[in-house]
Amino acid sequence: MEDLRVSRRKKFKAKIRYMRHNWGMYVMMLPGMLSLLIFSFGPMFGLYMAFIDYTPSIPIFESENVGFLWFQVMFEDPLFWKMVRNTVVLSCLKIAVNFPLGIILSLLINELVGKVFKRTFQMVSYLPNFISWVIVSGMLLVFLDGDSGVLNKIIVAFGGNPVSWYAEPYKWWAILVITNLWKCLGWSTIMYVAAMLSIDSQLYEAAEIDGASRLRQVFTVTLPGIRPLISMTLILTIGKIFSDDFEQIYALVGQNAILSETTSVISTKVFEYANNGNYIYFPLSTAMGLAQSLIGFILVVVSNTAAKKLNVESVW
Amino acid sequence: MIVRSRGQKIFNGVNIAILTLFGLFCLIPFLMIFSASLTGEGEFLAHGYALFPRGFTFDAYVRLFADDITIVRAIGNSLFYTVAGTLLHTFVTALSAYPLSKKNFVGGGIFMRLILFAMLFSGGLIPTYILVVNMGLKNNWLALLLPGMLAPWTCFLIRNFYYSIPQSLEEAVKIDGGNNWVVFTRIYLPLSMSFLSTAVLTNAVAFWNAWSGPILYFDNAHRYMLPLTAVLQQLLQENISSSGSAIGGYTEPMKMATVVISVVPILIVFPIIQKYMINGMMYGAVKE
Repeated sequence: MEDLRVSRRKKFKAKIRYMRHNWGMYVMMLPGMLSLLIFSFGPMFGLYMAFIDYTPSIPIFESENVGFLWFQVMFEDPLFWKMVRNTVVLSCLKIAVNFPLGIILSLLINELVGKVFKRTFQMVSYLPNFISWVIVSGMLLVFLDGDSGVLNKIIVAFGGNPVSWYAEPYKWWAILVITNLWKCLGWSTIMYVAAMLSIDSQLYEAAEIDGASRLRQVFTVTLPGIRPLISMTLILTIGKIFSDDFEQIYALVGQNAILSETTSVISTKVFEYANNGNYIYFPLSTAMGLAQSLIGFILVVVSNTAAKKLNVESVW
Repeated sequence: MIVRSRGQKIFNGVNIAILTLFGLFCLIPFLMIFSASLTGEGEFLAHGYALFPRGFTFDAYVRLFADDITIVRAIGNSLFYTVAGTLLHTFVTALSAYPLSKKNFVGGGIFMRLILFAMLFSGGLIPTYILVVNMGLKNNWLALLLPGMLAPWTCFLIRNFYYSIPQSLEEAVKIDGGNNWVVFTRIYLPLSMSFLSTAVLTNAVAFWNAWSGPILYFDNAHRYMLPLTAVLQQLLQENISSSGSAIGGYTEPMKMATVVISVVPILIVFPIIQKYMINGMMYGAVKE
């Protein structure tokens, strides 16, 4: 007991000595940590705003505490449930489309023989990932513009009636899924293709000796080989089911009121309130943001633990 | 794998055809914006968007630069935010990674945990907005540069790179009486230059592409401070929400020329940074 205390004190002294000798190290940490503490941790204290009667002129921590009133308001607000619906529907559609297609595309890339074509294709398919959603919004206008858009010209050429895309909310779930696919599908193949490359080539040779065709090898060697990665990716994607893609929706839809029926999600609504300086809505939207990020945080932690349980690499 | 049977040859052909189609699907939007920006105004009104420009002209670009200063100023703003922000963020992140790369750094564990937590949880938009406004940074370009100086993911990547720098170099400097700052500036920074340059480009793309922050922090009276992507977002709003935007007087070819101007820098650096980002993803997957 006595020994332990002495050694602990010695360790503590050694630490102090280290800190005194290497104070420069802490100065080096200072700018980065200051930015992190102020702008990442500061707002976490600001979350208290979800529990008060907010007026801009009164400091947050001196305002009247109203308990969970704003959360009650939130749960009774049909707009909130609509935003939750839109978020979940969009996430599910994106998973349902992108997830299998990502694997199929990776399989096709993996089967490519020519190196030059493979490399060129990969470069081209990664490109959209680097573009801001605002630029995608400009590109989308080329296709969807009511009078001069390409899509309407094609529809008319085949004898159909032009569609006013920016006034038809229920078409936008598909549009958001397709634009997301355009931007992310190529990039999503990176991990799969890398995992496929690391599969032992002896397994393919053995399968070939047994007379397995290429297609059969895909099911008996390639897919089982990347199964851990597939399940991990799926779990982690499902963990993000309640998070919405602000950049995509706000850049492509903006403040279009007609489309908001299917496209408004919590993050865009909150951004709108902040941008318009609608102080009355600040506590309510803080509550919404808090609810969303809490659920998101829990889901990510749970899905990560699940991924770890499956004995595969987790994100941290 | 060797191509043998006829079936496999057919499969390879079909495969290449499918992937070529997907590649075109990725590329055509780029061609369309280039083409639209080079289309004459009258031709555009008559025929709309097309894959190849009708009445090839640089008119839209000329008007964009000659008519008024909005776009020129926006490009200047973008360049300023991109250069200043990239240098500041990369330097601070590389600086923070140095102590964190030392095994015996007292308190390193606490710093790492703080960084990880900040990565996973955030206070949300409204509290951040109010904090920035209360600090007097509304309509101040510092609001774009000060938050997020320490980028967690980049910090971990750089720290990982620092591990590969031989300890003996550092000891040599310390024997000569150099402190940690000297070690960092004379050994770590020069040796990691090639690695950092890709981090710089990645940061630069992020700054060049940023638009939601500027829109939020600069009010309508300070629109002249907006970077190009944010101006573009507001230009396109006119078409998207058909609620007469505040920035009027731009024809469609001019808007598309603005899209092209904001995408070209990314097309230039993209081949360099994609490798860096892929390495980053791989590192994330294999670590621990």
